[in-house]
Amino acid sequence: MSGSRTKSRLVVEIALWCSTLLILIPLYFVIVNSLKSATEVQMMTAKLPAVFHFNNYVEVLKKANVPRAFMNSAIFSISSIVVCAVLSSMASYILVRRNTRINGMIFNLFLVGMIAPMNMVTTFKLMKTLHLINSYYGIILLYAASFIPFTIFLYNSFIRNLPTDLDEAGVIDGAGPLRRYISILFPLLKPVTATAMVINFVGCWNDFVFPLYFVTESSKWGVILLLYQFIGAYYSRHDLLFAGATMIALPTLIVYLLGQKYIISGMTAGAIKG
Amino acid sequence: MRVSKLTKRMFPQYLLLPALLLYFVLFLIPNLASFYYAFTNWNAVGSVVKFIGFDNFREIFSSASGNGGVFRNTAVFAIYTTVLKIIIGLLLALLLNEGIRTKNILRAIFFMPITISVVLTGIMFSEIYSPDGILNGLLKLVGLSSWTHAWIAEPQIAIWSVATVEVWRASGFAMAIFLAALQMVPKEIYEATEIDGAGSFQKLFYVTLPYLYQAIVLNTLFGMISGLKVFDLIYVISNGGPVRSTEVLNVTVLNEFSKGAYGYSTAMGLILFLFVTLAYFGVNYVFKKFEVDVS
Repeated sequence: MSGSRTKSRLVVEIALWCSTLLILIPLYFVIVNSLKSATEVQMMTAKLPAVFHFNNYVEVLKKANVPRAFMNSAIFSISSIVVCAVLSSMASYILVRRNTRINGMIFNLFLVGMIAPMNMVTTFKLMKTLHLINSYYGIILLYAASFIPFTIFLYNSFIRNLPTDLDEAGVIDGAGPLRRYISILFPLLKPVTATAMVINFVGCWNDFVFPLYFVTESSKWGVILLLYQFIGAYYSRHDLLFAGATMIALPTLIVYLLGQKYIISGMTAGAIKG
Repeated sequence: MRVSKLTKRMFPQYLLLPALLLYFVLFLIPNLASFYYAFTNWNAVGSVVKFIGFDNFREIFSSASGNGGVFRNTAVFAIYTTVLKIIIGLLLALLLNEGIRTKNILRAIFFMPITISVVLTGIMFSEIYSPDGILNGLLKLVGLSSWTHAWIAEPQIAIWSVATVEVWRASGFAMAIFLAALQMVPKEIYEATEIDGAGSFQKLFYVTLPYLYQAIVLNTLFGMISGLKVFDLIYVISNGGPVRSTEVLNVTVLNEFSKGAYGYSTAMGLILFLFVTLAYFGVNYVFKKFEVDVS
């Protein structure tokens, strides 16, 4: 009985590993072709290159301002996830602990933002009126605003399960609300903050829509818009296109591999509890 | 609920304000404004914005605009991807729930595509789908030359090809939701059914699936909402072409916006909003009717 069960499990395991090829082969294809010569890449095969052309990467770096794009992406992502985490955790603290009718309504208002699509045209008009087109501040705040609903949702389900004793102890010690939030609550929120930050980071880093509408100056583009521009620019040089793509994708893959525990649990736990 | 004075002092409302203000100004105001601008002739040329009633909507739904395909494509994309993501996600979750030694690595691999930039995914699949790309190469290799297609260039199949990329991208996410729900099935129930002599399929249908009901609802909601809202994947792979055969609502919004037809584009965005709202309440309504209670 147990013998046949282990055997069938092994079959399932092998079948699953085979199906990961569906995910891994496209990635392998991009990486392997990024190392071929301009003529060899036109064959579009999954074969290893005859000679490894690491020079493709150097050429992309020379032609496009990749470091600048990384810098822009980092500015957008890191600033917006920090702003979003601070504002959302403060808001959740009140929404959960001060459970009034109005706050219930406000929470529902935030939930709308998780479902409703953004109207890009009127948002564009607002951003333009506020002189926030092509502005780092503007884009960062817009990202933060768009991440707030999901982040509040995550924080709410976490804070609900925190004991209130610590708050009360803080009050007895004479700490004000902001003080209590900073020195008692925020440290307790570390795991959920990490989750929110990793998820929002990936979302912001990979976002294609906001820069498309709201950043018209190419010097302020992040890596994703640069990568999109490569499609047109290296239309006939797929070796360079793939080299650029690999260069831009690698950091996100590393973040994912390091933080996948947080990403998977955060993206799903918040959903299940709600 | 009424709260005490002490609670009010302990948890002052002003800590809530920064988030609410930012969200209100940058999210709610523009979206509320769209309810007005959708009914105007707002455009890049004229300087006066005039109220024109339902004219934009009449134009959108007129046969001359040729938007019928856009609605069809959006619906095809949303429904096809939702169904396949749920089937594949459920299958992966059931197989990966336990008993597999390398399950953590496997889960991480299956989940990975959703964390890859859509632009990169688009570049990869443009190559895979190209007439001399690896998909056709593979089909020829196994003797199915007659099955080869110009996957993105043939109007009849292009939307299905692009939608399949979304299935590739997000099935792992559906899997993760099912896996999280599977952790909540009490182990004792399995033991009890085993004593009762239930087979694996009986266990699946009568024990496991009822527990997964909520996860199915969630996956349907996520699938439909993100499917209706899809933009970047289609924009990168086919940009709505050939001959608008893969154009979805959000692509039309951008195209009309680029033409300077702001009012028209806003109206299109508002229609998308209505569809998403309808899908949200529709899915909830249908699932409520057939709710399975496991508690």
